Amino acid sequence: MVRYFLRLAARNLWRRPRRTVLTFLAVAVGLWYFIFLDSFLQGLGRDSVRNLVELETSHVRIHAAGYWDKRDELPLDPLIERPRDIVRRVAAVPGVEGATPRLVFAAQLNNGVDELPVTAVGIDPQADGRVFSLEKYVVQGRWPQPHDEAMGPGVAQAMLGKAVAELMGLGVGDTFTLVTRTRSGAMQAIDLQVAGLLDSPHPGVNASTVYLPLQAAQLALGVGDAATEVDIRGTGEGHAAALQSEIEQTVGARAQPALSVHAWQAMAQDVLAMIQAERAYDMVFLALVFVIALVGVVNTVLLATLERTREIGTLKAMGMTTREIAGVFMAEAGLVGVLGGVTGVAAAMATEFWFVNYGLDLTPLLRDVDVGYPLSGVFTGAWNPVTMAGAFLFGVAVCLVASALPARRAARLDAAAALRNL
Amino acid sequence: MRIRAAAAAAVGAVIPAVAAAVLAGSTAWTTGSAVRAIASGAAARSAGSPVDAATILERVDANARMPTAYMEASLVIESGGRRMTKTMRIWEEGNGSKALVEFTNPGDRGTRYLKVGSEMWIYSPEAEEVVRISGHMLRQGMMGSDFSYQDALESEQLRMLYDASLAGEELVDGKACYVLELTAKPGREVSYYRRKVWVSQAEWVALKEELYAPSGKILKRLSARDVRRAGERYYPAEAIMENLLRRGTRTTMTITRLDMGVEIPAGTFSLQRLTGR
Repeated sequence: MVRYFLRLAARNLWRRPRRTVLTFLAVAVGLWYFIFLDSFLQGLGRDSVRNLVELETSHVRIHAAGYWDKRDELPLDPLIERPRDIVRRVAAVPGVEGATPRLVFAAQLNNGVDELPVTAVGIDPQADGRVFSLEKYVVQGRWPQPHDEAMGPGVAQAMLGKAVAELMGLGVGDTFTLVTRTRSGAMQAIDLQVAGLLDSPHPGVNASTVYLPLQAAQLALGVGDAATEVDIRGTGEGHAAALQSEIEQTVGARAQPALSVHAWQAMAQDVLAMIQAERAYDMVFLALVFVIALVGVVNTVLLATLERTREIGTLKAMGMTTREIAGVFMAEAGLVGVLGGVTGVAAAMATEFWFVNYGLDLTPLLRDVDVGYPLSGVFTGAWNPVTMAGAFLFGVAVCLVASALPARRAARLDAAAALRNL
Repeated sequence: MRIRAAAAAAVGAVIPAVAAAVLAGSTAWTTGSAVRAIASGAAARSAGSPVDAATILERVDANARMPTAYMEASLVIESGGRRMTKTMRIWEEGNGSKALVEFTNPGDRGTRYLKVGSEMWIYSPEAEEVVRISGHMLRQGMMGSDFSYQDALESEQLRMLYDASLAGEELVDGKACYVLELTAKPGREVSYYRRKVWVSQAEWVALKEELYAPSGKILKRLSARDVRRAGERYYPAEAIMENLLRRGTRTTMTITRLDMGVEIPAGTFSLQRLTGR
C-alpha cells in the first residue's frame, strides 16, 4: 500500500516537471551551500586552533601568579624564576609530551632607518621544538644553534617571520637592533643577526614576531634565568583541560612563589569567540534554507491541490480516506526533499572532495588584511558526515512539515463539492 | 630634572629628552641655594681644589628645582626626511611633579598632556577623548621618536637614580666641561642605564649628553646650544636630541619664553582643564 502511494506520488511529481525541478533545486542549492559553509567553518576552526596551539599558545601554559591579568602588556614582572625546575617537574606529569620555557617581551625592531613594534620571544633552541613546530617553517637560513645562545662578545642569532624581514628589508646574515626595556625599565638595545626566516601559516608569527635565544634575551633584559612562561605540549587539543588540572596539582598555587596554569582555550578566547560567532551565522543560514524550502514546498503542494481538486474528489468518491490523500501529497513533498537532499549532498561532497584535498590558497586574499584568524597560506575544509546526514534529514523533514498543512486542507475537501467545483 | 620631567610629560617623549637634558644641566632657574652652590663651585675651581662628581650632580639637581614655571617652546622633529614643527605652552608646578602642555600649532591645536605624579593623560580634541597612558603604552615611543611615556614620567633627581664618577675634563664647543659618568644605582628604575654628561664649568649647563643601553650601545645624544644668561644663571635656549639608532632622526627644542615663579591658577593640573571644559 505504501509502495502504491509512493509510486502515485512519484508519478504526480512529473506531471509538472519544471515546477518540481525548481522546488528540489531550491532545496539542493540551500543544502549544498550549508554543507560547504559548514566545511569551510570547520576547517577554519580546526586550522586556527592548530596554528594557535602549535605556534603560539601550546596546549597548557604556566605563568607566575599575577602575570595573567597583565598579560596583554607583556610585563617583565612577575616572572617564573628557575623555569627549568618547573620544566623538569612538569615533564613527569602523565600526558605531557614536552615542556619549554619562553621569555616574551615587547620590543621595537630597528633596522637603522625605521622601527616596527614586534613581540620578541626568547626560546630555548633545544627544547622549543618539543612543544612548538616553528622549526618546520624555517624557509631560509637555519634554526638558532645552542652555541648561539650566549650573547657573549658576539652577536646573538635570531629568527624572523618572512613578512617582518621583507618589511624591514632584512635577509639572512643581516644584523638589526631590538630596542626594548630591561626588567628595571632601562632602555636596552640588542644587536642580533638574522639566522633564519620563518614562513608559517600563522600570520602573527610571520608579521610581528622575532625569536632569539632565551639566554640572550635573559641577559639583555636583566632577568637572571627567569622566563615569562613555561609552555607544555599534551596529547591533543581535547585533553588540554584535563592536563591543565593535572599540572595545576603538580606545580600550581602550592609552588613558591605561586604559579597559574591555563589551557589554550583561555588564551585563544578571541579566536574561539569568532568561531562561535561564525557558527551562529551558520545557524542563521540554515534557518534561511528552511524558509526558502518551506516557501517552495508550500507553493508546490498548494498549486497541486488547486490543480487537482477534481482528482481529489474522484479519489474520495472511490473510497480513499482523508489520511490517505494527505499522505499522497506529503509523499510528493517528501520525495522533493529526498531528491533535493541527494542532489545537494552529492554536490557538496564533490565540492568538499576538492576543498579538503586541494584547498584554497588564501595568500593573495590575506596578504594585506588581518581577518583575525591565525591563518594564512593554503586553507582546506573539513569532512563532516554528521552535518551531511543532518542536513539531508533536515531537508526532507522541512519538506514534509511544509506540506502537512496544505495536504490536510486538500484531503479534507468534500468529495461532492470538489467534483462540483469543476 | 623636574623641568625636564615636566617638559617631557608635556610632549610625551621628544621634549623630555631634549628639554630634560637641557634644563637638567642648566643653572638657568636656580634657587638661592643653587646660586650659592654655583658660586662656591666657582670659588673651588678658582682655588684649584678638586670637585667631585657627587657634588657636581648635586648642584645640577639643585639648579633644576623650580617650584612653578610657564614656558613657550617649539619643537622640530626631523625623521626619515620629514620635518614637523610643533609649538606649545607648558605650565609646571611642584618641581616637575605636575605639568600641563598645550599645543598651539595649527595641526595639533587643542591637544594637551597632563602629568600628575606618575600618571599621565592625553586629550585629543579630534577624538574628544582623554586617554590615560598606562601599562603597555608606557613603553611605546611617541611622535615618531624613540622616547617613551616612561621617559616623560621620570621626574626624580639624577643623584637619586645614578652613581656618578668624574671621568675628566674636556672642551665642548670651546668651553671647559666636567665629564660625568652616571650609572644607574642598583634597584633604581631608570630609562637609561648609563649616561655620560658634559657639564660646562663656566655656566653649569649640560652641553652634551650621551645615553647608553646596558648592552653598551649608545642610544641618543643631546647637544645644547645658544646658552643664554637669565639673571644669575645660564640656560641653553636650544637643544638637539639625536636618536643614534636611526639615521636622519633628530629633534630640536627651542625655548622661546620662560617665566619662573609664576602663579599658576588653581585647577590647571586637572582633567577638566585637560579637556578644556
